[in-house]
Amino acid sequence: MTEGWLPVETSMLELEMPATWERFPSDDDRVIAIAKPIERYTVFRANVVIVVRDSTETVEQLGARSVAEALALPGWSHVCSDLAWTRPDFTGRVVHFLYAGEGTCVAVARSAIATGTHVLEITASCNVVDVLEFEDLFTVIASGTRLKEMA
Amino acid sequence: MTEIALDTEATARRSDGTRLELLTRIPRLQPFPVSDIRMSQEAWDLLWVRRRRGIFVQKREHPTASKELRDLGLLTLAGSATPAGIALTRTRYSSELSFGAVTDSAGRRMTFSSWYRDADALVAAEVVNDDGSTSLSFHDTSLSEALGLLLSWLRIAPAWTFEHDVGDGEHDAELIEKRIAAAPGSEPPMPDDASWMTRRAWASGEWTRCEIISPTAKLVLRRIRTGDVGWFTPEELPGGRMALTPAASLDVMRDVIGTFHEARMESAEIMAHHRARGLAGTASALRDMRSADKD
Repeated sequence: MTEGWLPVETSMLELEMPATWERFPSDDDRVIAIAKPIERYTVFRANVVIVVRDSTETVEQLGARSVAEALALPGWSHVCSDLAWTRPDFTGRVVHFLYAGEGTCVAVARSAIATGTHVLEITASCNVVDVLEFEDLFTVIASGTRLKEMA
Repeated sequence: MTEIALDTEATARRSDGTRLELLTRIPRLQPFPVSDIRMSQEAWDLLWVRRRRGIFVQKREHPTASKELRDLGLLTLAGSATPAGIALTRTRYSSELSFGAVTDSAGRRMTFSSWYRDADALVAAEVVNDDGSTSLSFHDTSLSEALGLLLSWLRIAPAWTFEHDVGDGEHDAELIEKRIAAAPGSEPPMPDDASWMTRRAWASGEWTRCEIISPTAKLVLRRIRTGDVGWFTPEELPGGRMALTPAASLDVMRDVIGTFHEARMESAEIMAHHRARGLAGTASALRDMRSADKD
């Protein structure tokens, strides 16, 4: 375990989260949601939601669906980037998009991989103003997330 | 299984056989969110002058701009700013930071201006109307949403990016300027030594030079958008040459946000320096910022 980080585990997923962050309760072993604590000047609470689903999607279908879902959000949204995400085990996609929250432009990095039997999606969100502050943290969380069947 | 559209050109560039989804349609699916408050540059200039100086110093008549402002409820019949007009200009009036962008493409220059005071922002984004003319779209919003609007206005959108396969992207600077100035269909000839990325970009619609600017902090970031297929970072070289380095759209987004933070820090330092001189210093700082700002 990395210092300052806590292990998080379900029957299907495992990852590490910053020790100061909060994990939200979930009855579903396919979902993990974590968020930075609310502080005095918090405008938007940075958070990460990890979801695993049964799926035979290909990587390019995964990328196209991530873009389509971002564009289909109610209200204004804008897709900025779609990149190949190369992990040692699988190739995936990282799609960056923006949407209008309540007075906040939220920046989302959705990292996803398709294994042929499952899709693992790690959706990390923060205020667009804080993108540079959180990008490394989000990358570490996404890179360290494992589907148990892949471990 | 669902079939999706692929980018066959980019897929063919991949040596590992992986397929790449088509991205070039995305910009058309996400237009800039134009506001209901739209006016000409002349109307905005008139409102700004009336807001700052009242009706008495305004000698010239501005019938068209005045009517625009009256129709929007921003100017009274007597010619002074209404409460709504005063409210619209409030953030700019007390702004501590101005930030924006200028784009040049096919002979047309467009501007995005924004002003910031604490967490508030005012955006004036130039947009193209149905008849080809332009107007300013106003957004009285938050700092966060203003930054999002700038990223949208710059059309930062996904594109498959590859390193140059031939040469290092160096070309005649004048030729690059001609490519940016060219109307669709009248592009100058492609350089013989162009790489795959440059050749693809050359054949992909309008090139747009984007300059992200902070008049307050005196910062400029330059990038070139090549149609909907990607971005280059330009670098002027000796001997009238220019290097074009392929840039991922995510890096362009990060660079714009980074420049915004740099501008905020510079602006905060300027304000802190002047505050140390007391009230007179603060007034002087605001005057300096407004003179740096175009008005």
